[in-house]
Amino acid sequence: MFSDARNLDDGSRIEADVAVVGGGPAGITIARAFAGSRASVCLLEGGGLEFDAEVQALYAGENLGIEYPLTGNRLRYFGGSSNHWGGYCRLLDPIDFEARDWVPYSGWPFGRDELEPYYERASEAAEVAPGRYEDGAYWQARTGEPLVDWPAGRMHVRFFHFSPPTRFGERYRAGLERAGNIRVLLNANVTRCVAVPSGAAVDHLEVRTLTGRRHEVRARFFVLAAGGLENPRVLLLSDDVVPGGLGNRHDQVGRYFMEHPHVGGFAEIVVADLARLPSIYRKRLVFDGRAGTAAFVPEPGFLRRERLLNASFAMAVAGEYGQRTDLSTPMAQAHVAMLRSARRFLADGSGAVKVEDPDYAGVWMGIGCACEQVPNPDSRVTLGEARDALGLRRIRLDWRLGEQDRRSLVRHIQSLGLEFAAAGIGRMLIRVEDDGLWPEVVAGGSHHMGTTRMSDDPARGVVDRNCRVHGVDNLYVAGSSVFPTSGSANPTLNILALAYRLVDHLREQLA
Amino acid sequence: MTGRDGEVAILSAPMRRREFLALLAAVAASGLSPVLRAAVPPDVSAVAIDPAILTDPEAAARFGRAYLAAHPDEADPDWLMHQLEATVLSGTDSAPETAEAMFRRFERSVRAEYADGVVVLVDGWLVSRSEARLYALSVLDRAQERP
Repeated sequence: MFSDARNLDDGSRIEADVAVVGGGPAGITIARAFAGSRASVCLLEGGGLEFDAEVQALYAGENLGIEYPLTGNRLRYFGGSSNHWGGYCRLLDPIDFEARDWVPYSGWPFGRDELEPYYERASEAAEVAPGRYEDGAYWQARTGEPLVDWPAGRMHVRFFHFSPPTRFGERYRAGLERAGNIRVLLNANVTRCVAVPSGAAVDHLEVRTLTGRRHEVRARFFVLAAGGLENPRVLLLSDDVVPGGLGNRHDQVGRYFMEHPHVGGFAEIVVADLARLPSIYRKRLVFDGRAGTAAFVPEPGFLRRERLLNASFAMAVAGEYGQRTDLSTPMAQAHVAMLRSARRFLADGSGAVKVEDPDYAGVWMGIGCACEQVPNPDSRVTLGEARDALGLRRIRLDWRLGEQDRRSLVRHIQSLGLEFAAAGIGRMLIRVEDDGLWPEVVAGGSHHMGTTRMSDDPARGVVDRNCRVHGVDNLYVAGSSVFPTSGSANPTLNILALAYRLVDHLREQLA
Repeated sequence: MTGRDGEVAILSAPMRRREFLALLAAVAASGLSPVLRAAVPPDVSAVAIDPAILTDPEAAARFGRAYLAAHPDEADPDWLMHQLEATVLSGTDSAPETAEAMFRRFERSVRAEYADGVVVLVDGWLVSRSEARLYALSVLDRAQERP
């Protein structure tokens, strides 16, 4: 059942077994998992079914660090940020879960094996099942092209699946409407988790609408699934019983904000003979109804040896240099000069690469990159002094990147270039200076992670291994805010796997 | 002239690179005995490294010039040739006898340098050290050819 909080009588009280805050991929997945069960679920969404600028403005905030589009890279309406999701799906790598002595604050309470049972259901939710994220034999068989044996020992290949992308609100709305035990409450802004006097549990959620109505939602269990920026905000705003906010006795809420830093135009690779680069490395290919492409990921052994962070790269042909190409730009001239200089190393024989086009020199590849960043307690979300339309303090984000993050990025860019050249496939033009400074323009991937991090130690994290807020018996967090480290994989699929795992835990608690 | 004497003579004479290569070519073409061939010092190839065969000299000029600007101490064609020959002969005791074999050896060496990270940045390009020296040699060769 769907209803609108603006249409409820003022002061309404809603009761459920489980109250889920946030109608994005995590929240919807948790609610769906309970469909048809004996547990009643109330899913609270701050927005409606469509984008609304006034609602979206509740996301505005202040930047203290790297400029970050706080209202532009998340969406506050049913379906959440899946409404503008790009659809990239990949598993976190096993090394991402490890405590690495060269990565401060690294280490999950469990290894990837703990999430393995949930990845297939997560893939189904994202409409990419069965997942073939690490199955090179599958892609080789489907493409009919042998995969490259990358010779430099720095990179190996994993595979992205591309969700359609699933717009979780549109895709799963009907199922939620049909489920008799699920109530979706729209335009319901959770402004506070009201704790019992001891602070050891949540009593109810305070809900307000932009039209001035106030309601409360009572439940046995509460799940914050409002995203990596709003989850800490709600906890910090819930400070009437516990000073500093719920779950914040050790000043951990909001700290360790992580992104996947993206730098535009950091490098290009030229390739003379595409026959040397199988298509899965340079195209999205569709097999068995779903698309995939290669992800270049550093070898774990290389990461250990060089004490680097994780990263992943994907690439596609961006331009071709043939008979009809305009070669007047400096970039084209540089590319063609290298293609001609290294011609004998990059293509068979010594004549024209393409008989039908004697002027053909090759192609250039654009490269995308997502990098892990070190968990940094000073990279954080706090509350500012400005207030939103509901009178709530807006967030203040201080996103920081450091030298270890930069050095890893530069080394991995070089490694990718070395692999292509060592395999006799291409040459890399690096445009990022290795000068100790981050490029002026650094963007995120709209991946908000780490702000309610998971740790068995309450002094080092906000939630425990079951995603339960330390010290608060019935409050849980879902989403990438619980990631202790970010890895380099896009978070959505991993968020979904964690959501299904949380559902299993809640079912046990409800039984 | 014995082989050994010849070797010493070759190494000690202040011979120009082209003279040296011509001599090598003559040795190779003469069908001299394996003994005499073995007398050719192990750090030179029986088939000369010719930049014009390995790269497009016109295109490579920009990279060769950039490399030499960053490494002016290497602006010596004889020295560069010696380095490239040493690269080709590295890990083997036989000199390549055909241009194709020489190219394969050079290509293998270049790939190995990439795998090992023996690289330099030339005009922003990640280039193996020997490949960069090849481009540099190409530039110097062209300069010598000009009247």
